Formats: sequence, C-alpha cells, structure tokens
Amino acid sequence: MEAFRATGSQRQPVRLTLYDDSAASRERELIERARSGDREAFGELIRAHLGDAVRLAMRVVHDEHDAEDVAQDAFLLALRRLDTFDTRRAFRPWLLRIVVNRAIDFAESRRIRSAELLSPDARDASALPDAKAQHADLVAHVQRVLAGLPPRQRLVIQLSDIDGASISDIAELTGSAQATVRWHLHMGRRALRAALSPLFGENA
Amino acid sequence: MTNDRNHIDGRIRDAIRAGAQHPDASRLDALAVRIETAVKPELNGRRWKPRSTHWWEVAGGWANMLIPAGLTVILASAALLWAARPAAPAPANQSTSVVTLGAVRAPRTQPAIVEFAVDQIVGTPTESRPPRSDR
Repeated sequence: MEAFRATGSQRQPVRLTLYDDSAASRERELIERARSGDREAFGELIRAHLGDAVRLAMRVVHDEHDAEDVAQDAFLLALRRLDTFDTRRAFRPWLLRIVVNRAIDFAESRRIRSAELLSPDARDASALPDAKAQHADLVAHVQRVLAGLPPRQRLVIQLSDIDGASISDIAELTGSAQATVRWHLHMGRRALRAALSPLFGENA
Repeated sequence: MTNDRNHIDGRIRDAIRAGAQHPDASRLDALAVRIETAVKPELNGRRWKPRSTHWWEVAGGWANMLIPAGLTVILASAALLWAARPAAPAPANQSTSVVTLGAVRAPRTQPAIVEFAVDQIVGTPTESRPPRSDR
C-alpha cells in the first residue's frame, strides 16, 4: 500500500505504509509477546502507532480529547482481539480499522452533527474586509459543514484531501469496497459544494 | 460548469487542509502512559491464563506425544493378548482311536491287537488285567 502523501512538516498524514521484512518480523514478535501478556511489547506497539491512531480519530470526532479517548478504547479492543489477528498481515491497517470503527461509533453515539448547513448569514462572508479574514471565515464554514456530514463521509473526504490517501487505501482502512468509498467521496463533495457554493457566488 | 466545480472543490480542499486538526505531540507520551495503565489488567490476565486456541492447535500440540504412545499401547495390547491366549485342548488319543478303529474294522484283525486297541481307548492297562482264558 502506498504511503500517504505528507502535507507539511508539522502536519503528518496518517500512514498506512508497507513494512520491510525486519520491521514486520519484529512486529510479529511484539504481537506474540503481547499475546502472552508482555507489557513492554504492547507498550512498544502503542507508541509505534499512537500518533496515527489519534490523528485518524480526530478526522472523525474533531476533538483532540475525544480522539484520545477513542484511541485508548481502540488499543484496549485491539488487545482483547489480538488472538484473532493474523500475524501474516500488517498490524497497522488492522489496528487503524479498529480506530476508525470506534471513532465512527463514538461520533454517531454523540451525534456530532453540531454544525448546521451553512446559514444564510454566511453568504455575507465575501463582504469581509481582507482576504485573510475571508479565508479564515471560509475555513470555519468548511469545518462546520464538514462536521455536519455523516462520520464515514467526513472521514473519507478528509483522508482524501488532507492525507492524500488513494481510494484503495481508504477502502482498506475503512473496510469498505472501493465503489463505496467513491460514493461517499462523491456525496460528501456534493454536499460541501451545495453548502458552500453560495459563498463563492457560484452554482455547483 | 466542470471548471467551476473543480475550482470550488479546490478551494474547499484547501480550506479542509487549513482547518485540519493534528494531535499535540507533547500529549502523546502522556496518552501512551494512560493507555498502558488501562491495558495492564488485560495483560496481567493474559499472563496467567492460557490463551484460547483452536481445537486443532491443541490436537497438533499433543500429537507428537499421543501418536507414538497410542501405537505403543496398541502393540503391547496385541502382544499381551497373543501371549495370554488359551491353549487349544489337544485331542486326546485321537490319533490312537483312529488307528484303533481302523484296526478293528480290518478283516484280518488279530484278537490281541483288538484288545490292545480297546485298552488304549478305555485306558485300562493291559498288565493289570487278569489273563483271559481261551474258550
């Protein structure tokens, strides 16, 4: 699987990378030890994947504290299911799929749809005095509209736009068919265009 | 129309990237410690109980010992049964009887031979009998 494209030095994308053989065998060893209750081994797995887990959870829940809770739940769940993990496969996509599912469950249970679709007042954003303020306003509007999308659509759009993930990467990460990912991407973009095109003074 | 759509999509994409949230690296260490504490009971439980396995894994684990032991038991049982089998009773005096009967039916049988044959069948020793008187 192709690594996600980096989007900046401070902002790392979620990685779904292939391992080389030595890293894979090391990881298999850690997993076997963790299965036997080795704290140090599981701690090493946590530290290796925690950043990606939190980053991915934030794509869905849009709150750092909630994302941390989701990541913690996901690691606990992964440990409980560790016996079912096939060590011939890569650990990271398996773990991140658990994170995605936990985050979506969390988002749906919390009904994180606080944002309403763009209100009529937002159409006045073009009247802001300078370009920077306009951009900040646009970003805020986009985030609000994004937060109003269903969690899975929101995740797919962000993985594509922020992390530069391919359709196949997202399909593997979310456990969905590629056609389903394309559909979520299409519907998400359509909803964003419909909500934001008045801001651009154009019809989508 | 398509150009307009691409333009809007591009601006939306830029806005999404600009507004993306990223985890604070300084918080990750503390979170890792928190998670390690949370998973400690689960890991402790794994130390003391054998992890669940499929039945064929259990059978495979025991196969190296059970198959030779089973074969040994089967062979030993077979050998024991063979050694302890009851001996077939020998047909007592069978051959003698056949000979005797053959002798009795022969046309020219001497009386002494018949007497000997009868003694052999009924088990009476010839020596202990009183001598017979000729008629």
